[in-house]
Amino acid sequence: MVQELDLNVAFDPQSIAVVGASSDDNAEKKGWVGRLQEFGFKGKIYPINPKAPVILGLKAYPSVKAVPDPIDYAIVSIRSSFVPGVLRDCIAKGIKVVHIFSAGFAETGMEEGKKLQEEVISIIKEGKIRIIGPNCMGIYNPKTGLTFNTRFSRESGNVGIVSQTGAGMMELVPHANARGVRFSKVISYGNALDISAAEFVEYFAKDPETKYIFCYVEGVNDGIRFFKAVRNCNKTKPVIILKGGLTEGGSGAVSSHTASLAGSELVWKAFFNQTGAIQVDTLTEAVEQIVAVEKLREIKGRRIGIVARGGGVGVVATDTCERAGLKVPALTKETRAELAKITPADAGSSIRNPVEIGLGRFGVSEYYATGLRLVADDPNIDVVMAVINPHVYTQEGIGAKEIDQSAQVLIDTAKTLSKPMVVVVTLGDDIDVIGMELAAQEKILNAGVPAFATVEAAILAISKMAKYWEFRRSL
Amino acid sequence: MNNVINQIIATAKSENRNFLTEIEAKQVFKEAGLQVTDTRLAVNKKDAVAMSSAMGYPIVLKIVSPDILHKTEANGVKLNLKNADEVGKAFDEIMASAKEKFPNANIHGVAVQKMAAPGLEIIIGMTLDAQFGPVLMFGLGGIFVEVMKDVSFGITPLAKRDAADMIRNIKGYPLLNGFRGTPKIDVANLESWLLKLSDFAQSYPEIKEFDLNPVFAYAQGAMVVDARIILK
Repeated sequence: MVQELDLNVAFDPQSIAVVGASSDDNAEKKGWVGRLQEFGFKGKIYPINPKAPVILGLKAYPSVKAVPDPIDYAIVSIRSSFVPGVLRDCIAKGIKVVHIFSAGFAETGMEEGKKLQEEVISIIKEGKIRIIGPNCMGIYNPKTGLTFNTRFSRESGNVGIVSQTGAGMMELVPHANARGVRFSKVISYGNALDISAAEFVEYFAKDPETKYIFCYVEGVNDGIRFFKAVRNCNKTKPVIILKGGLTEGGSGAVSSHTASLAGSELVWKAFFNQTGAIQVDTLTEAVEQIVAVEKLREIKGRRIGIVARGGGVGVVATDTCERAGLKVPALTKETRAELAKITPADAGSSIRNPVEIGLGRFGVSEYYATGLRLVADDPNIDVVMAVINPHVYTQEGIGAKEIDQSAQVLIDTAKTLSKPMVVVVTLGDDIDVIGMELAAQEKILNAGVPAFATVEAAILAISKMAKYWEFRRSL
Repeated sequence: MNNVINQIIATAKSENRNFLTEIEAKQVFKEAGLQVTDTRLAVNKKDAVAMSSAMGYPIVLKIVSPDILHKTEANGVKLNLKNADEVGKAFDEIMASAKEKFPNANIHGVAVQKMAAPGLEIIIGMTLDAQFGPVLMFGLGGIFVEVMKDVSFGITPLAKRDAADMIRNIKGYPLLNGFRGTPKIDVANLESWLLKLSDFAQSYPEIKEFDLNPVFAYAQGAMVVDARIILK
């Protein structure tokens, strides 16, 4: 039985040993030592390589035992067959947590890999050491300067990630960063022969730096512990989960109805029902949901007010809403009377719901903001979606300045509205205009207002947040 | 821990079998707090007839053997027996059929029970999920499960709301609420059964699977009409 550990020693180490640092500086620049240096890790780095006295300007040692100072954390990047020996050295040195980056263990499916994994398991059973991995990218913590990719933002935030895949996070983290999301800690845990997803979720539940959690899991070793950890955490901090490999067939003999019917998909459906965790189906959707969970204020019901342009856009948006479980109710007579005062009576204007206030060649104007306010204040509405399509008006003289001003009006409106609001800035077909539209999205997101590039992405994310808040209220 | 349940499990293990008979399974579920039809084992025709008279007609007879899992296919089930003659005849037919189809089977005898009043047919089961351990299943019986696969699952240990959600989440839920003149079913009782079965599954790790099929649910209460338990 391995001891309980304060995982902060891994997330915030004062010193790191990199076992297997390359003696070729050019190579190691792109390796763990180079990465830590480039990302600004403030603690001490000890490269471990018997063949080099100095690596990237740092004194190197032949083994961790040769290092005179204490070491908190080790990253092991050597051939798997050497890992057991290195682990014994780490235990002797008193290192508390080791990240085994190396692959070549049980994930290979081969006898040799499985035996190595068994050997590691037996070594850690004896000693007082915890393992992250093997076969994983480890930790990204912008606050302390740990990372597995230097493209990730240096700014920290309050979204935590527990992921079975590192490659998927290489994709997702920069994408989320570009959408104005900042992370507290991201952990890629690989084979999880020791520290598992469940334990990381338990950590995040208690971590004051983390308010929202995203998990990517395929298989969970200790399913019940994971189930309980998610169920518990989700009561106070939203947990978004992408379960990979859902459509694999279920296992089981067919000696009973129950066994033959219990496939993976149905059991995971129970998992999500019982824990109330938010389910997403793709990495793309995960990013949208992370944007929503971090930036969309609490929604108290499922009724949406849509402010868009032109009949078709509104009609289709209404259908998408209804299919996603959101209602598009009529506004009250009073609201409609007020809206009529500010809506120009030209073609394309309508004040039902969806509301078309006529964006026009002046960009998002003061009366647009008033319109949004009227819709938000309507008692029949719980959340507002404002859709703008600047590229439609660029021929009428709208350019970067007007688009930026529109973004500012939307930000100022969203921040003082009585209900939560999301903005959709759709993208046109001219590369320059698209650039301006993306800049507008970025400005809105960085101001803490949720923004999306399509109506569908916005509606799906909103509907899942509405469902989540319903669950929270039912507790 | 319940001594009766432990004893039944121990007996099966000592006889090198993993399958508990209907009689044993019903005893187990009775100990677990559910209502089961009073079912007794008759080893000969005379006992079968005597038990039938005591219980009252109509009667159901079913073959009892750890080696015969699918009783209906083995012609081992006779329903709606209205008097002593029919019971006697049915007993002979069941035993003859069993000996013919399963000459090497260990036959304990014939289970005698009174036909339960008709109710809404429910199926409740448990299986071990590779990730989560004991998982419960709930559904409406017959074609709802077999053709529509309209079932819901619950990972144990179930919270109180999980039991309610499992029942509410099946598509056929309106039938439990009363539909076109059928009575409103005692859903609260079914919820309490699911919670009891969650405790039960957690308490007996020797159990690999169980099926309560059918359960008849009524406006008040419910009755386990047939049950199966498989040990690891």
